[in-house]
Amino acid sequence: MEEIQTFLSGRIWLKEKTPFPLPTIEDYIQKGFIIPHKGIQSKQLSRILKSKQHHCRRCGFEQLSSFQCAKCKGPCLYCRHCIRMGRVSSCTVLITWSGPGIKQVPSHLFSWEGKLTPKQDLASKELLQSVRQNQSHLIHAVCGAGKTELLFPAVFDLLERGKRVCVATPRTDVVLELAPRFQQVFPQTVIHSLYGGSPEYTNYAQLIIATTHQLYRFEEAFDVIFVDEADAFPYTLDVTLQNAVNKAKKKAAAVHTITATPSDELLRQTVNKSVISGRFHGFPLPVPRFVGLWNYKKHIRIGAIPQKLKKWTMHCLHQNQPFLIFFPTIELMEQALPLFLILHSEILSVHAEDPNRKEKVLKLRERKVIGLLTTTILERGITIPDVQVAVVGADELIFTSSALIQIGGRVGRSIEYPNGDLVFFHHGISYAMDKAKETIEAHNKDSGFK
Amino acid sequence: MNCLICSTSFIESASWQKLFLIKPADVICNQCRSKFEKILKTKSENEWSGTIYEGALDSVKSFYTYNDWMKHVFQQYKFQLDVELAKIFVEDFRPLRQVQELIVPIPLHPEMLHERTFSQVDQFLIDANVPFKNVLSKTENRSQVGKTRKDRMSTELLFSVQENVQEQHIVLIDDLYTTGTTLHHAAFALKKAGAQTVRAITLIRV
Ligand SMILES: [Zn+2]
Ligand SMILES: [Zn+2]
Ligand SMILES: [Zn+2]
Repeated sequence: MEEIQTFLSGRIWLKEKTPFPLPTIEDYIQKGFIIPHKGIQSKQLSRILKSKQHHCRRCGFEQLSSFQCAKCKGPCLYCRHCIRMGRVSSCTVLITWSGPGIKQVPSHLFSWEGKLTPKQDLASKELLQSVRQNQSHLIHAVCGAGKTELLFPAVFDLLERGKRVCVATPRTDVVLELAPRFQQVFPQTVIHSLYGGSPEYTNYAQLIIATTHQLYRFEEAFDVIFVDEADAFPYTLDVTLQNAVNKAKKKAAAVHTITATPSDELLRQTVNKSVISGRFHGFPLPVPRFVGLWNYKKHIRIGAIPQKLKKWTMHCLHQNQPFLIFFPTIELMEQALPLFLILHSEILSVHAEDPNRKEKVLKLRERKVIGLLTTTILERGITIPDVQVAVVGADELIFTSSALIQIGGRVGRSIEYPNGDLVFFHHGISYAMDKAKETIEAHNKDSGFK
Repeated sequence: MNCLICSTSFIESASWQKLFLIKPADVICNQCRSKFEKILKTKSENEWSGTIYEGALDSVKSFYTYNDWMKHVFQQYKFQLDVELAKIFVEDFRPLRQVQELIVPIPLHPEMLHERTFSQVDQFLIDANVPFKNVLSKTENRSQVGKTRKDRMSTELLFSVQENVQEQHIVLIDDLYTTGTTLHHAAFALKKAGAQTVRAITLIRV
């Protein structure tokens, strides 16, 4: 009993895919401890036309696919949107727990030696107050402000009060970075970190660090959710992810957001807000330099690195400074890689589907390679001391102002190397480039820099 | 249109065939399409000579290699049960609409079919609008995995023939050609039941 309860509390799961035998599950359904739900839900749109709207019970997706099913012997709908978590179709059953709730015996240890800057400290206290009042709060903190640590007091307060807490983010990289930090600060707390391909836990965790995607598998589970990097792709574009957050929290639970680049809508929506415009180490944010790089695509295609970019790279190599070069497309990046390999053999490329992404970033951090060519996938969540950053084709549409601000946020993060070069190579200056530069300069001004 | 594999939206290049609805619009983007590797020349198979299956199968043709990309897509299709992905291969199976031979897909065992909810071989033909007949039935719900080559070549019957195939010309359809056991057993059973010719087409050659 206890095992099923801890596994299923707050989750919504495929009936056939739990770690428990089916007859046991059936027995619990009989006793009313587990509620079965149809995988695909339908609602009648019009009684006269008999038209129906269907959606996936797990992720809410509405554009379902249909096929002739050999199991239910007829037309069957299935959801492609969340298929990686095991397929939900008309003839599958999802289950949720409705038995007795988990009795929390809070025994948490808050072990953090660090110190907050006065600005962090203020924001942290404001957040704690909102959390206690159960009102949503926005932390607008520049890249490198140290936003994770200012969550610690609020999270500890919640854990101590027996609340179930989730820190969600759209990016797997961010989960991988946050999880060990939280585990270090709360050494006695069971923490699950969930992302595509993460281990399957069967025990109960009071604190969960997860990608927003993973929240499809929760229902009315959390007393509080913190959404970190709330503006990151694909969260802002994918309504089902935003619904997932709403579904995963208990009805009355507040959602708090933390980001360096809030959308106008987010700024409008939130009542309580803290702004941190300066970095924890007290140095200003690096301001981008704009450098024209005419016809760079053509140059790369015919097999030559444009002169200015080559010079920039050679400079990093001579100074022995690690570098990141961002490209607008995988295609262009892959055309460029062999050209860069002529300059130096220890340069790698990474993109979103690269299975070795983690290892490659680690190699750069450990100076086992000198530079990475990358798509926007590395715009957030990574810290590499003394890294120099260039964006090739900064005027391309994929580089929105927030993407450019985030990319710029990679530079000068560590206290040992608080400065660094940030270049936007372009074929014409875009509005997004201007906006990014203006925003960065405004933050610096707010922190007392000219 | 959003690509069935990478889900980025793409614009299909116009062509007169599509304009006159001779060729349906593609369901995946050019980039995803280009990662599949077509097999241009089929190598002949000698592994079965000297066994009782020699000559059972008249010829085998496969469309694609089992490269990493195909592995990835095929895994999503067959094991994550993403039925819709069968549409990617409509153009490959469509020419079968014109053939005079009887099209016979390799069946799943009924228990397996119930569990998987669809037959990954039938689905290619359904989506390509190719008429076919389920003439064979699988006798045992067992996989070939883990058996030695000798075991696989042994005489135990994997299929039984459910209908009269006397004097018939048959095209067997399967998803993967790995060792050829499945197809040779099926062809053997069909020839024994009186089929005149049996050739085979598979999506993938491992
Ligand atoms: Zn779904
Ligand atoms: Zn079904
Ligand atoms: Zn695609």
